[in-house]
Amino acid sequence: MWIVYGMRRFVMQSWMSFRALFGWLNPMAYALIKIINPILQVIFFSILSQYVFKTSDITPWIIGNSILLCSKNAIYGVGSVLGNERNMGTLKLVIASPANKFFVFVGRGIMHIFDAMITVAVGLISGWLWFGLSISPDRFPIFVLALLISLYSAMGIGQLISCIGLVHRDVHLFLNISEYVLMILTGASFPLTRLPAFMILISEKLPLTHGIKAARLIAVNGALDQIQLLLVKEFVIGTIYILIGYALLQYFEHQSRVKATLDLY
Amino acid sequence: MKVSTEHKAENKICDSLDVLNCVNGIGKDTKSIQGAKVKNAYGPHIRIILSSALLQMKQSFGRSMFKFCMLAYPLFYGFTLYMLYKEHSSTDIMAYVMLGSAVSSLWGTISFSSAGDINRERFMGALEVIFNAPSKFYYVMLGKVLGNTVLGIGSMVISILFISLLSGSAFQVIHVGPFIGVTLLGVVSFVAVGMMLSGLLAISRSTTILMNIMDYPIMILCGIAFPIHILPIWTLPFSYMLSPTHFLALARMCVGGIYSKDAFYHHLIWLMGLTILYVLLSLFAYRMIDINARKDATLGVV
Repeated sequence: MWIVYGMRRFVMQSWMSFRALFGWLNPMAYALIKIINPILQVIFFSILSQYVFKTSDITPWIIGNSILLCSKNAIYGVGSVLGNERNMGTLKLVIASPANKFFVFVGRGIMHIFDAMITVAVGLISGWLWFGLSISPDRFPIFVLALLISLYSAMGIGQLISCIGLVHRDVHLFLNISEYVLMILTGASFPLTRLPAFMILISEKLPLTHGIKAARLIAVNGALDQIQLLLVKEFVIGTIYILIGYALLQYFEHQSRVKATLDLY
Repeated sequence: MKVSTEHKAENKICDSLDVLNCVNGIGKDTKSIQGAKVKNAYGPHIRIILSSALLQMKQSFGRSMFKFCMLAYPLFYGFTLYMLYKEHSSTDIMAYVMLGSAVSSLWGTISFSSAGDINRERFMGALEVIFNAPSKFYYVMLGKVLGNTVLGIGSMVISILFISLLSGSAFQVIHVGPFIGVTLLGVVSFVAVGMMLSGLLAISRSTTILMNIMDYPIMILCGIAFPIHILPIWTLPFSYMLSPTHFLALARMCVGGIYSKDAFYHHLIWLMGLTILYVLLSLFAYRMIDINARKDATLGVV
């Protein structure tokens, strides 16, 4: 019974924080930013890929750019959560509350995974409508699983960035830079082999890189064991980012208690 | 946090008052007047515009988002485009990577920032102060857009230099004279776009949302990263109504060679015509702001 109660509270606080902090009060704004803009982004990169790579089959680039759309949620949604809490004056209450901080921390990202799923679906549907993206029906369940793991992993980097909001006032700069770092280093828009060697090494350690590779393999009916390996890597990377983020949160929380600087940045 | 926001608002109002004082010649802050090298000989409108532009540049540099738009965005966007075009010829790299990212950076800095300025002033509570000043609101805003333009040109230069370094090929222009002329005209046109957008934003608050989704349509329709002839034919009228399309076409001709004078003059006439149209629309928008502000009294309502 206590598990059900705990789960209910976890889901409730995830939902409440999503509604309160992400601030989608205007349905028109939601439609434009979460539906129209992703469609335009996928169209832009699809046309660009068609022109640059001189090919009509741009499935890998549609998949890559569609999955990359989740970075909006991961970075601007989850990444600004703690900064927003501080700006709204609720950070002190969250830190002082006796609730389990790990669940509070992880809970902030849960709704964003589902919200990001909508955006990614919008991107994929646009690719299917205008650029002939196709995924065989028997591979669809594993494709959805690959998406969910990728989104989970992306939320991990968002939560890590979010901790920067505790020690830096201008978190928006980090958010914008992170978005472009993911765009460049995950291989969503161009082959990773074009990057310098040190960047390829970094990209291997970033969320989304393996998830995008796995989703592309699924689309071309690639070997299942290879896909599974990529998804496990993606999941592990996402979990590591969440754990590092949580450790940082603990550290900054401790520092702010010692120095009384929680709201000072 | 609340306190610091109030401080910011106060500073913003003081900054705005500085502009007005400079303009009216009653300011005690003589440093800002001397710094701007504003002389009586320039005439009142020029003084307003110069003071406003200088202040705008100082304020913009205080915002991290602007620093991102001006310094980091050209690097990231240029790098992404270069990686896409890496195996293409140097002509393509120059036409689509260098010019594409340069125009994209300029567009982002001028249009996005200029349009956001009205909202920022409104949020800080300084919009009514500027509007009610004896100096014409249009000129104060024009100064702001020009300030952004100067920084935008810096962003453009950063973009071109970065890609030149990355690709190891210099930015070479075949027709230097026409290129300078076209660039100047293009910048004027971008300023007109900035003025038009800032006017529209002041009239309609919902324009703020549109600002956030304008990047990709512009990049697609204007052919910033690829030629517009690969787009469906029905999109061409929309492309033709946007001045960056013609500026890019002209700049690419100057860089790669003007093989058809007819095509050059065709785009030149379009660019000039659209610039005049944008200026007229911006004047109309500011006239509407003037009427609506007096009629509805909601200029400062967020």
